[in-house]
Amino acid sequence: MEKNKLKNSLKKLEEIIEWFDKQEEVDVEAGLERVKGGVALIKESKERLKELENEFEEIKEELKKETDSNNKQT
Amino acid sequence: MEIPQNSAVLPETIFSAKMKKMDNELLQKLKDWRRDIAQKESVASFHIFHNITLETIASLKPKTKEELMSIKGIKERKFEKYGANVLALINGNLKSDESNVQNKERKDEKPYTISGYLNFLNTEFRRYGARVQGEVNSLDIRDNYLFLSLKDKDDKSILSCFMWKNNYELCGISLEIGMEIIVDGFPEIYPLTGRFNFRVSTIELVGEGALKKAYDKLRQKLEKEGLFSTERKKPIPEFPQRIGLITSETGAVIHDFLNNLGKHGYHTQFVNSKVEGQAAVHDLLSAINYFDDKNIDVLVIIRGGGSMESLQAFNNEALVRKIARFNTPIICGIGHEKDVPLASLAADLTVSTPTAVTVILNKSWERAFNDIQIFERDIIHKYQKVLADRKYQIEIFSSQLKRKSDFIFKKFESIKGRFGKNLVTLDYVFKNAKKILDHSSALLLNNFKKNLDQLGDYLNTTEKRLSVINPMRQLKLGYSITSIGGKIVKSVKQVKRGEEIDIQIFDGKIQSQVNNIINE
Repeated sequence: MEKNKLKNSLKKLEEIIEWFDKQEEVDVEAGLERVKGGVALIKESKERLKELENEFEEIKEELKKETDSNNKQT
Repeated sequence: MEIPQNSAVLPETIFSAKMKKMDNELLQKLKDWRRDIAQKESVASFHIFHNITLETIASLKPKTKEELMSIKGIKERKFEKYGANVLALINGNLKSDESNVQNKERKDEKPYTISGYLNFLNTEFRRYGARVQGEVNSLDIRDNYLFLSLKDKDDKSILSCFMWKNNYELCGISLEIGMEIIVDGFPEIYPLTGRFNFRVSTIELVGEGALKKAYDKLRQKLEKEGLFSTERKKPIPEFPQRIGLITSETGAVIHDFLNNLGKHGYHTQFVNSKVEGQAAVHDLLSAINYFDDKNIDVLVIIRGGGSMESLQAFNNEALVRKIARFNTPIICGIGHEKDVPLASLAADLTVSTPTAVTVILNKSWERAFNDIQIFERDIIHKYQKVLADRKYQIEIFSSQLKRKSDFIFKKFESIKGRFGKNLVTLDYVFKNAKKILDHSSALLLNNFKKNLDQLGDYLNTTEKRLSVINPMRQLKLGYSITSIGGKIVKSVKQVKRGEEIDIQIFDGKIQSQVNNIINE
């Protein structure tokens, strides 16, 4: 997995949003290109976030097991 | 050395020896006897008998030569030499026998050398160590040692004493003639002079008053030096693991300490030391010295509470200085009455009981344990928040993107809308046109019918009118129509004589020939 993928995606998304803000008159075709890119980034980010969430849940579970076994020991 | 001996004893002997209750008193007597013999013969004690052999004897208590010989490790030669002594010891009547034996033996044995004999005596004297109280009668301090004599106040008897200078300095007491002191040591004969001495290992002051006075004086002096100042105290490290422990192996203190020390993976290195009275100074110092080059996080010195007299070692100048300059932090947990031991004042941290030391040592570990639980909760909580934030951010971006880019669709929408509007108009136009058309056609039809009707009427009227003027009607009335070549003859001029004419009458035609023309 790329490092900082989510962070970069979010940054790019922000840039796209900013781009729209800056344009006085948006070129429809260029705008659509960015919307397409943005949608892909959103999709990607959501997937990555889901992955992170799953991974996090696993770690949480491990931590819980660890804590439980420690508590049993003491 | 014990191992080959073990194998020399039959297993059943060991077994039975273990089964029978060992006579510890007898064992001690046997050991004492063996030491004496070994000393006399200048051999190691296991050459006489091994421990296991003595233990077996102490358990089985053989009464006869045969019984004694049945124990492994005792062969004919050994029995010859020691059998009588051992049996006498078992029967509890060695004393007389021993002297007999020794008397008998003395004639046979080589005499002692002077040195050998003094050596033997001095070794024996060692067993008669004592604390002796008296008044300093004379004092002669040399470079490396000092002579002093103590006088009994009651009968003026004198004890000559010898003391090494370093031991004297260790005591932290300045002797003066007339001072009442207690000396701790043992008797000896100095081989080079043959003089009897009491070899003093340590001196202590007598009475709480004297101790208190010495305490106050030393405390003032060291305070002035700044030995007790807080600036020079080393911090006690967090999470101490390697603990040096100095206390007495006897007594409840060490057990209390070890029991109260939590299970935090400590490696405790224990050095046993006397802690009672002035005699403890030497032990304590060498125990601290032992830890000089040991890798420890903290050194703990503990003992239970006591009077100033029993705690006097902890007010010893050498010990206090040693503690103050020790390279590793020292925690003192020395129970005391009114005056805090100077050792405690010099320590990097002082608590009033040994158990309190365990509280200090455990503190950072226990806090860490709690912290970890909090961190664990926090890290989960905080990361959950981060995830939620990111999720929210993506939602925001996604809705922003939608909003920002809506115009693209909006343009379409507007075009579509406009187009739609036009369509409606067109539709209206169409519909209107159709309506007009419909209307027109209805009108048209109506008019047409009307026209037709009118036409009909006209025709009818005309028909009527026509019928009125119909020539056939005239013919019926008797009139006729003459025609020539299809043309109605209205004038005589149209015809000539001889020409054929048609005369139309009501019910037929008559063809005739012009006979005559009469002009009127």
